Amino acid sequence: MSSAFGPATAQGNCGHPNGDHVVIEVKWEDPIGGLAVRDGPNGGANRLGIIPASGTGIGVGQCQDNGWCQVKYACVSGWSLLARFLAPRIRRLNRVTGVSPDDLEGLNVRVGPHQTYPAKVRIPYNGTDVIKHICQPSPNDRTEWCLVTYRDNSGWVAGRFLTAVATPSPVPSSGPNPGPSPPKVDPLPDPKVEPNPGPSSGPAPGPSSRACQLFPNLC
Amino acid sequence: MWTRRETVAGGALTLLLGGTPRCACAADPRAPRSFGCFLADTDFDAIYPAGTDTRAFISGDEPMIPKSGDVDFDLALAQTLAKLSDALNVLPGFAYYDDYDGLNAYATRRSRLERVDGTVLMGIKLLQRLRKGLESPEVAVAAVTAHEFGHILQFRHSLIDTVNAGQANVRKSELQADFFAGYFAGLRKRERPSFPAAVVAMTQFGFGDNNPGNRNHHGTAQERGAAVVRGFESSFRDNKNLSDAIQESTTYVLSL
Repeated sequence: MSSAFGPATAQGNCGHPNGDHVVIEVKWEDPIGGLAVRDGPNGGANRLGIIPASGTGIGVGQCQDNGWCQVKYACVSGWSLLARFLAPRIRRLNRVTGVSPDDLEGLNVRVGPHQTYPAKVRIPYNGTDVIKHICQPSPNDRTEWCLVTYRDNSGWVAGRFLTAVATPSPVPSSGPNPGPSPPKVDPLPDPKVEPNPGPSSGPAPGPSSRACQLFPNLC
Repeated sequence: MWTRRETVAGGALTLLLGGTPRCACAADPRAPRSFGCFLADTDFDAIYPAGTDTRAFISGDEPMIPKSGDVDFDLALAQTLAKLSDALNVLPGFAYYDDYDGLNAYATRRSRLERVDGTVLMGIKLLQRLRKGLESPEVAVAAVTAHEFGHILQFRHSLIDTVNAGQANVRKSELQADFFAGYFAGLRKRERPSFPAAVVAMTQFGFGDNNPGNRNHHGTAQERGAAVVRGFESSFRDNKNLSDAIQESTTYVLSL
């Protein structure tokens, strides 16, 4: 699986993720480009890794009342805010619509949310099982673009060419050890990029600092 | 003891008025002919009027940055200016100005002092904002200052017209200045492994914008952070000298 953006991932070399959840609602502009996996069920816990914004195959375990759940993504196990940034894959499936069968190229999957970004792969006009991670206005012209994953390739497609696939019934969070339902409305601050609560100056920021989250190679 | 390395110009102009924070290097209405965070000569006087108190730190007896009110910070900044001067081989003046209608910093070719390569102007409100940062705020100040020193380097080597040729905005010259800020961060990291170089990248990342149609577009957050990282790698990892780094930075931004 590839990441449309984000310098660091938690995928590692532990094989293909095989859970049934996917990352959602991580925006193109997100400073860390993905979902932080932490060593505790709160935004202040140490970050163990980042699941890309286009992450799939995430396993979900026990959840807490605050919406944080145990997650496993390839090599990394920890805690993430399921209520806000993870969803069952089956709820995010879409199919391509509005593309002519005569269009041999199909739907372009681009490296960024605008038609000026280069295409990396294409989805056939009748493509199904397209996982939609997030849709958002393009920073360029405000048209809607969606980050998707199709057959392990991820990127951005024009939102008007996607239609959600109806699911038979609402599917609850279906991790191996499902816990209490997460809150519908998340009152918590963004747990992925919390500022470093440490001293305002002094030695180099530690690996949990925001700067080091953004630019780990400089720490 | 002060050495020549520390004889970097400094001074202050502080007229604290209300204003709406914008972003570093935003276009200033008082500088209508200028784009990017450097000033045309004709605009310089508009924000840096004649008679402004500027002076070089010659003996060390002078008040270094009189208006900051923080002796420790003043000393740290003076040292940083000296290190920047050495790293980028430029000797600009440095002064504050009143960025009453936004948060800005500028570099200009105009020199108010002898022996200096233009002048770097730091908005007093921008300084205040940066110093409120939670993570190594003094390094955030250094990041913006290094970026402006990068523009001075561009002036000296006539790089701006080269990298902006045919461009509708100033993005490439701004990203090259970010590269130089990263180059400085890499040198500091080599010198002091605990130097929080990531804060330099994060600071410039934070000033990214998504307005490519604007002539004053400086690059997106991702582009700005990436430019700092490239500059950092040039010095820290590849140990390139300044001449080679200048060439690399030009090739880099032209490839974008």
